[in-house]
Amino acid sequence: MLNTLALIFIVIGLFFMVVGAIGLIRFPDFYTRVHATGKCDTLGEGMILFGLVLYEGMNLVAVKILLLVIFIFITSPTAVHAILNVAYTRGVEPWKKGDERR
Amino acid sequence: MKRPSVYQYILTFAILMLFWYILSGYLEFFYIGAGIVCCGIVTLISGDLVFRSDVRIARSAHVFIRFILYIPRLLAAILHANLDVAYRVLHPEMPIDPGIVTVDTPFRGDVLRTSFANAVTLTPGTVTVDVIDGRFIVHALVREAGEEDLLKGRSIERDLARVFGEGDQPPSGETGDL
Amino acid sequence: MIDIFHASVIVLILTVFLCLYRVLAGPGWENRLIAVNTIGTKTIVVLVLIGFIYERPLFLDISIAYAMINFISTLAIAKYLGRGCIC
Repeated sequence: MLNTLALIFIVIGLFFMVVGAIGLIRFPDFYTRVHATGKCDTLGEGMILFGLVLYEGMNLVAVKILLLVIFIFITSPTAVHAILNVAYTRGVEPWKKGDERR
Repeated sequence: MKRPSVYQYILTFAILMLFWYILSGYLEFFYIGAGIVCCGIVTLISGDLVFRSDVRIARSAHVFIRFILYIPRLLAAILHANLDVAYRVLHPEMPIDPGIVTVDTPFRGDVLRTSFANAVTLTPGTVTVDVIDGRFIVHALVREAGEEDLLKGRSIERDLARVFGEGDQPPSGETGDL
Repeated sequence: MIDIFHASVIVLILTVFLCLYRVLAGPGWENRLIAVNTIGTKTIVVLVLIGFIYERPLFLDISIAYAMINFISTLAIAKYLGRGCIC
């Protein structure tokens, strides 16, 4: 039962990570690519690691993985925001609808 | 620069010790002794880094518990945001219309502003680009939907204001620090 | 369940190659930086999965340290590009 639940979590997480990578390729400019990777990677990673917690059961390894999940959920948006902020202050232009892709 | 208090050193030492125990996993004399020595050195050097010197434990714990109760709604919003992005990535015509939205908030505390920026980054179609004194510059994947959410709805803003106990008119000098 | 872990590692490495295309082709430093950050976050999951496949909990500590180094290096590069020095 728990293994099935863990399998579901891992598969959903893999789906989101693949979608994030495809968005990194497909979207037309830097700001929209940040949307794809910053969101989908954070949730996909959290879901895969939570599935591993369910597979492992409650012991010290699971506590370490939960610590890693909390750390990622705090730091990943912060790192993305740091890159975005630098790009905005250095004058990277946002893409408008109708422009050609960069 | 205020005078450092004892509480911030004790709190920093306790958190470092908990982290040490989780990472090592042994409850023997040698490992715990080494942990006490290492955490003591780190606390002496940078004890005033994490907490302010006027930390009030009861109020901080109150804010922390309310923040934990807020987490399930945040997770639901994150899931919705990811499904939205996945739909826009996998749609063959890519229905996006990006643009930049400016949001004014009355927030003052550093932790509160950081939480709001991270919450905006993780909710549907928006990422925070820049913060200037409570004014957030937000890049929206679909401009009209972003304006609808952030300027008319303001649900994230109200939730976070309730969590940190800071309303539309913040009392002077009080900030929502942990 | 071990087969699932193997399959997950293979899928993750394929997505790393997709990101590597963006690192090589992406115009400007900003696309390269965001792609490198994404590869780093995928590497954390790959490390944890390798630890589960070979049943060595040591890899978890490595992945925690890798997460911290990834975060700090991204912040350092962003700060250097924004101010011209790391200070």
